[in-house]
Amino acid sequence: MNPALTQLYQELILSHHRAPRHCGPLDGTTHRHTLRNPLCGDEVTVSAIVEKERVLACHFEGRGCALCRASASLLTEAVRGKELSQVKRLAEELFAFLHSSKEVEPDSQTIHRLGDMVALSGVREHISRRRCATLPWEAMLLGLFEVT
Amino acid sequence: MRLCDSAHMSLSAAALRRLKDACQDFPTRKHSVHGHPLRYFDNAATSLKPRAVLDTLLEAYETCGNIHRGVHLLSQRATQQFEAVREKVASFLHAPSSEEIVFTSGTTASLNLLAHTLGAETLHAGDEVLVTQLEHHSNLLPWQRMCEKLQAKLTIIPVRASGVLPVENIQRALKSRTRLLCVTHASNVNGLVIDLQRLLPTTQKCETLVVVDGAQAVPHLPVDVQRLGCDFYCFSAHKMLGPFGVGVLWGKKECLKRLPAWLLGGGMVSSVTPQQVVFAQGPHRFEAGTPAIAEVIAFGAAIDYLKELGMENIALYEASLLLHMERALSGVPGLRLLFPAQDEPRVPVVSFQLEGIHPHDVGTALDLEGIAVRAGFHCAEPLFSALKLPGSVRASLSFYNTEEDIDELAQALTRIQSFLR
Repeated sequence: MNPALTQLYQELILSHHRAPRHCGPLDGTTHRHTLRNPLCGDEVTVSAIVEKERVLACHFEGRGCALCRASASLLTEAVRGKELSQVKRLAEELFAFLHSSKEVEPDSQTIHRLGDMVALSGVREHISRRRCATLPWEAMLLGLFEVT
Repeated sequence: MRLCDSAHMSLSAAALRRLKDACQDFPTRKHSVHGHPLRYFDNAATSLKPRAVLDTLLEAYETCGNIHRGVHLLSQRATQQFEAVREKVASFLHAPSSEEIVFTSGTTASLNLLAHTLGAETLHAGDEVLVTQLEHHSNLLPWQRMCEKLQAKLTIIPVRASGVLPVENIQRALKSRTRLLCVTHASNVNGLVIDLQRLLPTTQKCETLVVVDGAQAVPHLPVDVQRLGCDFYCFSAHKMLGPFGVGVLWGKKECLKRLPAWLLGGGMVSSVTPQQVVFAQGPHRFEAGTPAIAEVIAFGAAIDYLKELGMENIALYEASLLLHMERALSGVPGLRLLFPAQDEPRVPVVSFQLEGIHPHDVGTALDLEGIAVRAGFHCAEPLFSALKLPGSVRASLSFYNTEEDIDELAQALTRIQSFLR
């Protein structure tokens, strides 16, 4: 297979795309937001249960491409159990990483903090696909911090 | 036998050879993308440009001044070459006079010009504007706003689930208060050609003005505006081998005459006092400010190139390429042609889905193999909502595509299908 293709659609991405985690409605949701990407019509809803400034559970629904679904699925795992301030820092770190040049290798601490999300690194080379990866995270931030 | 099956037989050997060699004339085809030879299937978005157009563009920038302004040679040369293209466009469309050719910045600008100027003159509260569900957003949104402003009714004529819109359905939709019918000549999603020649006599009986979006038809079919019988016909140069930033609004002389001036400024007046203005007559009235002069001149080279190949020849040849593409795509596992070949006349635009794979993933995966297609709603969202389709991959051809391009596309799709599912 084309190496550029396997770099963008890494095994981990394809696994989350084919069997997304926490996909569907979430009972007892306290925070929720839907965002649409006008370029492709993809739509993602992120729902969360927040108690005492901590995310207890997070789900997503909607339709999207492999990158968008994988990113949403990774998100639901990454934010669970984290404090809101940690979630915000993590999202900011992910956005900075996805907007960085592919020539710049992230340091080991960044890789550690981003965890599985590093598998989204391929979109750094595909400007038109960046939003696919960031859409669920943008929806999550709006749900948790600007919409009650 | 369908048109496409007979295509090669109807072309003369010389015409067929010339069309097969035409791919050599397009420098972009020699480029590689992600280490692969470029296979370009996004012609409905914009065509490639032949060397002759690029050379003319550069030469015009080197040798021309502004038009209609100076008495010096550079200005006179520019004016002469610019106006010569107006003649070429008129002849290309079989329009009776170059006075009916207005240069704009593109199809979108042409349609917006009409929506702004037709307004109060044509449309009163309670009147109706008809558009079809096949329209590109450019032939919908200007009319949406116009109707909102003038309290007119906007009616959308639905297409069948097959993506086909029979002429009879449009004819039936015409009512006594229908003042405007805005219709595409060929769809940018499924290539369907609307048989305007059969449709338009009905509109004349109803005194409905007919605006045609010809952006997808002009690059592929011979167009004769007098035989079509519409009132306005709009298209862009960049989809028919010409430069970006140039469009055409053709209007019947008596129809253009009724339109008020829209953008005001230099080059569109016959006299000006501090209090008053007398506008110029003819197309210049709609061409305020300095137009894309070099681009218009290079557009002339694109028309010369198309005329040399012959639009009838192009139509026949592209029909055979389209047939080849549909056959090749039908062999890809899990591929569903969204609007499968009917015996309807079509331009070479095909929409499809790969089962279980999002159109944008298909688009990116093809790009990584050097293959350029379009993915999404193709600026025709109402069509996709109506047919409950989540977007499509679109492959659109031009005569400079080869059968090898098409076979590579089908093979790449087969590989992608097994990798991404």
